[in-house]
Amino acid sequence: MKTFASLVLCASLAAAAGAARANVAAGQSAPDFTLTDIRGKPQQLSAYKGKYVVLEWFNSECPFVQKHYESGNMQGLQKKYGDKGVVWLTINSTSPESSNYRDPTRSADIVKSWKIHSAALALDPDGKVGQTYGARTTPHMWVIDPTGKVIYTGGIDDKPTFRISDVKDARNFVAEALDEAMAGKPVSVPAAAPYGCSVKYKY
Amino acid sequence: MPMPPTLRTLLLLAPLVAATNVVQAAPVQQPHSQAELIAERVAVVPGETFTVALRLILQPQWHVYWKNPGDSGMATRIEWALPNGFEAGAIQWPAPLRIPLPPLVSYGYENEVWLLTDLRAPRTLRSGDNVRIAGKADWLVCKDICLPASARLELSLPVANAAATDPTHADAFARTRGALPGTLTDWKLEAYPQGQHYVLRVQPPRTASARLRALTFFPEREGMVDNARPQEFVAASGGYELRIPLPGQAIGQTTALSGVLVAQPGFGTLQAATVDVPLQAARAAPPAPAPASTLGLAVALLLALGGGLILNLMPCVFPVLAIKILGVVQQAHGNAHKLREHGLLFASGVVLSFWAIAGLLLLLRGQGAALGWGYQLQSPLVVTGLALLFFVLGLNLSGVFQIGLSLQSAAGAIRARGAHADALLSGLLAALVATPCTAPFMGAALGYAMVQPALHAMLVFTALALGMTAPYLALCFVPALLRRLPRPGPWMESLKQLLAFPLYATVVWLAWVLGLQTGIDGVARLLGGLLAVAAALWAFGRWSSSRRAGPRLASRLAAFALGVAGLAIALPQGSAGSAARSGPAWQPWSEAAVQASLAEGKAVFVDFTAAWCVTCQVNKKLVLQSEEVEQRFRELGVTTLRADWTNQDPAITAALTQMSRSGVPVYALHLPGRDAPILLPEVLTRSIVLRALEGARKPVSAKLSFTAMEPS
Repeated sequence: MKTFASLVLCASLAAAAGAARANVAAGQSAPDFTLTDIRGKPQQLSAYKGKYVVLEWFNSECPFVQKHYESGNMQGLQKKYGDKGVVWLTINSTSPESSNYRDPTRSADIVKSWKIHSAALALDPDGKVGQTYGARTTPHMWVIDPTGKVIYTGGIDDKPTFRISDVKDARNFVAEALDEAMAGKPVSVPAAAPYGCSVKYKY
Repeated sequence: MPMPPTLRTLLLLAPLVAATNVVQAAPVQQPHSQAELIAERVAVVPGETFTVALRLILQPQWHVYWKNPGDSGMATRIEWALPNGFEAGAIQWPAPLRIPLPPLVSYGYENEVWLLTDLRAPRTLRSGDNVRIAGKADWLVCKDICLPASARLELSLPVANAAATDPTHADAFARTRGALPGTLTDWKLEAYPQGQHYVLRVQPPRTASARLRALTFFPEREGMVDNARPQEFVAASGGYELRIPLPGQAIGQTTALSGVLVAQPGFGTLQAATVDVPLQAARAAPPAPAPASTLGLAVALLLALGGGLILNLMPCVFPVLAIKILGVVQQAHGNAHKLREHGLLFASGVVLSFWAIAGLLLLLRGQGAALGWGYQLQSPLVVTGLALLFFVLGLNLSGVFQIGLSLQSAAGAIRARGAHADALLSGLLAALVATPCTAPFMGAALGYAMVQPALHAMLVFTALALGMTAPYLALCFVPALLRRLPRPGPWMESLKQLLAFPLYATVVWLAWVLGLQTGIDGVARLLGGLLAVAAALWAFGRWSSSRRAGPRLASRLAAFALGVAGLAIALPQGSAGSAARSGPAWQPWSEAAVQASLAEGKAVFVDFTAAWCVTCQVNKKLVLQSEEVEQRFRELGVTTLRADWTNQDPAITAALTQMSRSGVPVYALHLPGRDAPILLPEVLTRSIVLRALEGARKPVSAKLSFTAMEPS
């Protein structure tokens, strides 16, 4: 029985290792996915081909996410780049088994009270999209160019803290990548360390 | 009236203070953790350096983070608020733990951690005064969820001309210092990239007594290595190797492996060391040991040709062979030209699919994917597909349904074209099914191909394909042989029906493979699907050639619906699966398990096997599980390990490649004190195993007395 249990453990660890390996790196093309957003609408990445897309991994209960929303930083970026035609998709890969899970109804309340300004908040309860991309933290960001290529992946900025006061001095890699790419320049920082809480995947 | 600045500051700070902490010397409680500032000595001496600790006590299962938090989290930080003239150093981080949060791994601490900081007092302090050492600590405490924590901490210490160590915490400070990473002096380290890993080679000084049991590398910064994938520790010649996976997304330039290396039981008295090992140029995988590396191209081609010939007799090719014999017999009384064409087409089919597989293999090898021979049957989807295909072919041979009955009167041209396609397709199919059975000879040739340039590899695969098709070509080109074939007659129908049984047997075997991959539910789904498909084909065969339009249409519709339902039921949902089981005495293989047993002076026998490998199963049942062999294993105290390759496993693939094999079975006998394992032939007999085990006798007893002196 013990052997069996340890075999099962080994198998699940192996599966875990396999899942963590998947990582969509800068320069690669972004894998397509379809998720249902909290309004019940399907959100398919390939439908936004021809536009810049930002993927933002989100968990309302994570202090690092709260830092960027309480400071208004995230909503500001969503608004600024949304106005420039960028499609901003906020994705929550929290498993329904986690105490951090917020169902579509509660998520809608959060969107309203936090004034989240992204194109959609999509739930990924089985974590498939998150694990395909290798999303590790909340927040963890991807910037995809109109051809579907990843031009930035990593943390939102260079201050890996949950202190609101750090937002104003931070170098925001997402904004930088979008500005540079839109100006036809190469992205100077295509990858940086993601930071934040671990994504609460189903296991 | 404008508010005075101080009042404004106070008002702004008030909510923060209330929400997080208060200024106090006693421990500050936060959810799931508590923080306290502790001085090592009872007083501050002007001009001297002294140490303070931030002590974090955590609830069980909660953790805080190292300076590089790994996949998620945040390093604990302290912002000092010191009196004028004081200077603070950086936090001295004890070696962290790997904290798995599947699929992620973080680096941090559990239960309790003391984070030491050295502070220097100015010379200008006056004895008799008090100094206030204050700081704000921010930390993230996580279990599955994360909570931010923050505390303003302070200490008040007298200034004195001399200061004794505070005895209350002396032990804790000493313990903490003992766990700090030190500097390795006599150990030689080198590092280089190799494939998808960094290899860190660690060479102990001659004076080192105890063997290392494990090494773990913690990278200084994010994006240097893959945090989550396991690091492989192996004892190598003259030292040890740690294989550290490259990151999925590299961040910045990695020119050196910088971080902390933790050893078990330790580098001498040191548990952990700070390392900064410059990366050398990438190295190719170690050159393949004999016999493969000494195998010339000509020999490899000959062996591949022979291997291909023998493939024809393998149980997983024989069903196709059966179909082919029927085809050849049917065609024997047509004209010789057609027959030759048929043989050549079949041969092209085999060659083409071997090329396709080889091309794919080379492509994947080039991409560094750790895949090997036989990987087709590692996918439950492919196994299910093949089971369905063989079942349908079997039903066809059994006469449940016939294809093309209504076309019998159609023009000869169409039939010929059908026959061409049929010959090519059966060639393709034969090769696909043959791949998992690495017959004797094939292992070496394949291993050779894996480590050779692409052109050589393609040639070897071509030779394999030609070997496999040789009997057909011979039959098709030498009419004398054909004349010896029996005349057609009713026996053909009997033979045809008889040949359905090998196909059914193959289905049984595939179902068993699927069972190991996906469990009993997967098999039940497959059987349900087969049932529906059988019903579909029966309905089709029974009524589809009926003269009346009504039953004909109804049967076809029913057959179609049942067929679709069958496929829907049978095809696997997702790829969930449990690992294959191994028998009571057989433990799952890992490089670490091999090394551990060798370190104890035990010989190790490794069975590299897979459920879909028929040769492996035959060897297991007839030889390895025979009483004689099992008893010998017990008598000699041989550790028996089983490396199950039924599902794709990069560690096993890597181990096979290292022995310059790319398929199973492989039987490796490791003896203590010998670097390379002894490889046994792929077709085992009891006497081969028993003879090889004789070699395990003497070193075992000699080594045992030696190991008894080593610390365990």
